[in-house]
Amino acid sequence: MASKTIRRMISIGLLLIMVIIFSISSDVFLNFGNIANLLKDSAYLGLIAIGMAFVIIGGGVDLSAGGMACLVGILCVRMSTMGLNGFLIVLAGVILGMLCGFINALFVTRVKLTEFVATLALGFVYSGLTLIFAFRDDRGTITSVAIPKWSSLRAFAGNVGGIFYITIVWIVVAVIAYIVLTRTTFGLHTYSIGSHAKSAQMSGVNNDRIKMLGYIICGACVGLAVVLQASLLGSSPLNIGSGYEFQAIAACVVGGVVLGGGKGDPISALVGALFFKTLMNGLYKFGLATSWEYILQGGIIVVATVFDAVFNRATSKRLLARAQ
Amino acid sequence: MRRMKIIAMLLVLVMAVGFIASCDKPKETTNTSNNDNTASNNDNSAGAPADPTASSGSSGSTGTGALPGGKNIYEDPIKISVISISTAGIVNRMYQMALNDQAVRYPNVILDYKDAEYDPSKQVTLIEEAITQKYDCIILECMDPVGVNEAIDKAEAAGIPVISTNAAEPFTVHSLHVAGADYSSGWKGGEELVKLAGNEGTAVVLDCPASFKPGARMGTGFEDYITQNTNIRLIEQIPIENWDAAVAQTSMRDVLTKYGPGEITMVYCSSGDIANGAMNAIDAAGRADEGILIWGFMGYPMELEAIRDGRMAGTMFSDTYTQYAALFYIALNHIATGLTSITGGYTATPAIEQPMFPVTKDNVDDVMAFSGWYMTKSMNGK
Amino acid sequence: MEDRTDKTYEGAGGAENGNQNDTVNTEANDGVFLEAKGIYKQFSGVTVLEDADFSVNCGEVHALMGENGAGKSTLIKIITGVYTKDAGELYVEGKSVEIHNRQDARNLGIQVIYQELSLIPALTVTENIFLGAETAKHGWMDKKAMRERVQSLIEHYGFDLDPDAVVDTMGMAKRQMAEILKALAFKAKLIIMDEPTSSLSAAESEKLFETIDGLRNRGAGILYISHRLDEVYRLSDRLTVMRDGKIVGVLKKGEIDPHTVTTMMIGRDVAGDEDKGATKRYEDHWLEVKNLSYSHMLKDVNFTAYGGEILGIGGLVGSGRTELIRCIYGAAKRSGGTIMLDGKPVSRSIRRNIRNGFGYVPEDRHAEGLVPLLNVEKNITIASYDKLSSASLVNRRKEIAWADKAIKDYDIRPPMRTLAAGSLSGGNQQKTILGRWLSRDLRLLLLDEPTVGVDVGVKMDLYRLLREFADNGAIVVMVSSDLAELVYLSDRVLVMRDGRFFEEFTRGNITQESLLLAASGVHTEEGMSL
Repeated sequence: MASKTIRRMISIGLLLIMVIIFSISSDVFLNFGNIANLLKDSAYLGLIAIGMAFVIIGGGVDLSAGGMACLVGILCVRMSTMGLNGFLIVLAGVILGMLCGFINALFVTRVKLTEFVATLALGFVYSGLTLIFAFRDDRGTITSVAIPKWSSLRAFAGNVGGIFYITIVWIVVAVIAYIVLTRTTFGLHTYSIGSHAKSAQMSGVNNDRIKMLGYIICGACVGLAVVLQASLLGSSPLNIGSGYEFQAIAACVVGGVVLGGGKGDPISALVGALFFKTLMNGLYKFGLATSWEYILQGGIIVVATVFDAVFNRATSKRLLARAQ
Repeated sequence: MRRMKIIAMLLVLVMAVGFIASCDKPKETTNTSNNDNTASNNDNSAGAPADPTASSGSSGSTGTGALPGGKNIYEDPIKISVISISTAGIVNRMYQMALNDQAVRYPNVILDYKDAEYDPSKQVTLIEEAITQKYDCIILECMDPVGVNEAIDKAEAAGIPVISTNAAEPFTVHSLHVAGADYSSGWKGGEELVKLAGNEGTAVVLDCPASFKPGARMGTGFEDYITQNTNIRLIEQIPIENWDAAVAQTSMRDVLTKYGPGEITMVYCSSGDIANGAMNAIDAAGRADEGILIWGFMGYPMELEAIRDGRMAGTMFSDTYTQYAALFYIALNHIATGLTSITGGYTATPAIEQPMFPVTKDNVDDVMAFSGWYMTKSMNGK
Repeated sequence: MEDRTDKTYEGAGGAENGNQNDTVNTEANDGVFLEAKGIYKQFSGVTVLEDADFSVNCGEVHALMGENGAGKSTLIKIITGVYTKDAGELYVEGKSVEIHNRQDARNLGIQVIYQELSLIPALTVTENIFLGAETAKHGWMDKKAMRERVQSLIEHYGFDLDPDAVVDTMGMAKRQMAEILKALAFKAKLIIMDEPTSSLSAAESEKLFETIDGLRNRGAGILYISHRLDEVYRLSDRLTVMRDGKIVGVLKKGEIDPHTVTTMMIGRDVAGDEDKGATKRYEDHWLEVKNLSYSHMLKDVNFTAYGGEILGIGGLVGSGRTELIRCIYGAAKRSGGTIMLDGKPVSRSIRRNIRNGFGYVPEDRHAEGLVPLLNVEKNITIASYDKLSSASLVNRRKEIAWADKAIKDYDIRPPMRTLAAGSLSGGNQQKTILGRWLSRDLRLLLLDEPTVGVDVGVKMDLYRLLREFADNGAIVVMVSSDLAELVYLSDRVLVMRDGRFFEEFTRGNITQESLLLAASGVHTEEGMSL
């Protein structure tokens, strides 16, 4: 059995076990409303995590996702106040995200900054730009503005049969992303530059182009995520994205996307995001003190990383031994 | 290998189906996401300069007798969810102390403190969580006055009174908003500070976070006072995200580089943490002896001591302890009577604003003596 | 960078073509595939290749030998398009060509397989082979077609590979085969291999040789670069020797013998360089190992080594030699048995052992020996801070003097102590590591494959150093897979097999054949059974 499949089954298995435990121990966990809410809450992080997965698998990292989200969010709210059609706003959000991703990629491939530095710095820039586009009252102080009730953007906050649109979009995007990464040459090239960039280049892969596409896709996912989330919240607070880049990375890591690159896939990212959110949702039922949340989140990331390292080493050893 | 992939996919499918199939039918709730609570929701016009007076709009209540849906606050198990912006910080500790002290007397009451970790999406999640778990009351320190509206509507409709405190006031109608009388206190602070500083000079305002309604800001009150009644020039107005002392310090430092000695007469700070940050910045820039007057807000122990030592000109004292202690009983009252904005038929959120009084060197000793900060020695290390 | 994703390579796609181009037409052009005439190349004024005349025929294995810096890799890089020649002519199959980049070389049928394989670990064999030239329509890969093509290639060449295996999970030998398959998939007519056996065991190397023989018989040209004369002897139809940027000579199969080759490579007669053996045995200084066991690798190891002698440890890869050395040094925690030096038990802590005069030159200098980012100086002094510092402060002058002395003594080139050690050639790196230890007064020096990747001239220097070292009283224990080395240098050789010693040989009775036989479990008359 391929180790990839085993890893996936472990993730899903743990998730299922968690669900079972929580369902048994709390009578308010496994009801439609809670699960629908859970899925809705996870979708924002989940979509960002899928974009992040593209970048991480390609061997990079995008620390600007949070800032991007804040910026795109506020711009979308502005568009909604101007009366643009909801679909157009969502499209614009995706395109704006792609633009930011493109800028990220420019700095990484042309200016040749390391990804960590480039995206970190650009994240700050995007956050700063958010303030520039923020709504201000007559005196110039920043104020909070809601998406107008009449704006068609509001419609995206709806649900069908109780399942929220954002959840559906999330799952669909995850599946599409998975297909793209596993069945297209672009996907193969992404894995190859993440696994061994030099060798990939020697085989004719255009490293820069693939990286750029990865960042653009990540931007698109972030843009999509924040537009839908803003629609749900009814506004885009200035810190709507804060910290989400790290949460997305954590979700990827827990799901099985290895930080060095070359391993994992978008479904892992989906499972990872779901894992975190389910864990928190379930733990809330126990009335756990908030400090434990931090500890648990950190602990899970450590366990997942160590597990992956040990697991991969053991798999290699086992197969190497078999090969002798 | 192929087979395993299929099995994995099937498992996922099973899980998804399991979620949906094993659940109860969706409970009909009176609200859907389009629950429009009348017009007052999201017009964000600048608030009126005067404070809204207390307890408007409880027109639907019958006054005395218990409303349907109430609980027995002495015997029934009661859960209150206290959702803050972040559980770090001195004010938060104060709330918890105040609330816990009252709850001691009611062993059937459980207070759950939840930390939204500065994430507005998380606050929404926590509110929904409280609804799912059927809490009896939600006390909310709101970050994003728009984003929480739907969740609050759901809570109120589910019979859970939502009481917002201190921070932004959610736009939607809910059970109660409790805060210090920020705007008028800002105004008053302006008056007092000008008495000390004279009618001339310049002012720097380090204001509350950007998401606040202008009508609820102490900084705005201060500005209005000085622009309308004095010759003092307002040279800087900076919102401080999350009331964070470090952010305040950086902002103050930037202001100090912009203006030389003698160009800044007074600094108005919207909270004690912000005042702390401003003082540190002035010290670090070596300009502590310029005589820049610093006026704070809230009356934290650090502020009181600074006033006593002469490093701060004064502050507006807010008796957080008493405020929250009272809040506890208000919450219980709502629970006992089943009063929510729905059952009470509110068209606007009632607000209780606790006025504050100025503290300067003259009265700081008295204030320190009776203020709730020093009730437990461990709080301030003395 | 051209977009190749929509091309179907004739070699990679088109399974229906069969493998018709397998047998290269050896009649054309007298069977000469590649010819280089008068190649000249210089870098910043330094001539690296001068007047090089070179040729490779179809259906031959042509070996290329020469010390580091002789110009081998430059020549290869010119042939494969990484460098452009400054002057000279290249002919492929009789036609004059210009090779400006890798793509040109590929189009001509020239492929190279480097030591550091260019496979992507996370991808499967099929994906690796097709990377950059995938069978795809508008980006959507036809996985089935690609896999079928690879499978047919595997069957055709008789390799033992699984097209769906992830490279990560494959051993070195299989990876190399996959790399070769990749070259073949692109219809390589000339395959250049650079030190292909450096990470292979003897058995795996043998399989590789069979594969190479097979390819040669089908008409491919193989250009084989190696330091190992025994391999060259086994495989090549012709051998070209280079020295100092020039072609020294070309030997035909029957003309290849160690003496001739070494003389050509070094430029002087090395016949006189013979190791005289131990001058004296220091009875009061000895290392005694009894009943040593470790994990499942070492079962019951017993031996004694004396000061003044060089003890060689032979055996196949996996017999436990490296583990033995590591246990003595303290890098591995032994599970049982005793180790005594001069009658006193040896500590399990590396630091203490260093202080007691132990030195260790590990097998994998990249992973465990050299610190590539640090400069040469630090790499030399790194183990000697007890001598160079007081109260935790390093005496810079002493440190510099120490490093300079080592650079001089061991002829480390280039003699710049501030260079990053990773930029030195393999041989000089090894000298640096040795320099690290030899500059101390060691009582026990443990070496694991000390001259791997080092050229002949340098090897001789190192042997001389080690002998001097032993003469001064140290115990030298040397693990090596280089049989010639063991024969040359050791006073005694203990051959290991399956975790214990199998046979012992003494100087005068040590031959390469008997060592090899003993390693494979056959007792010989030269040795003493243990």
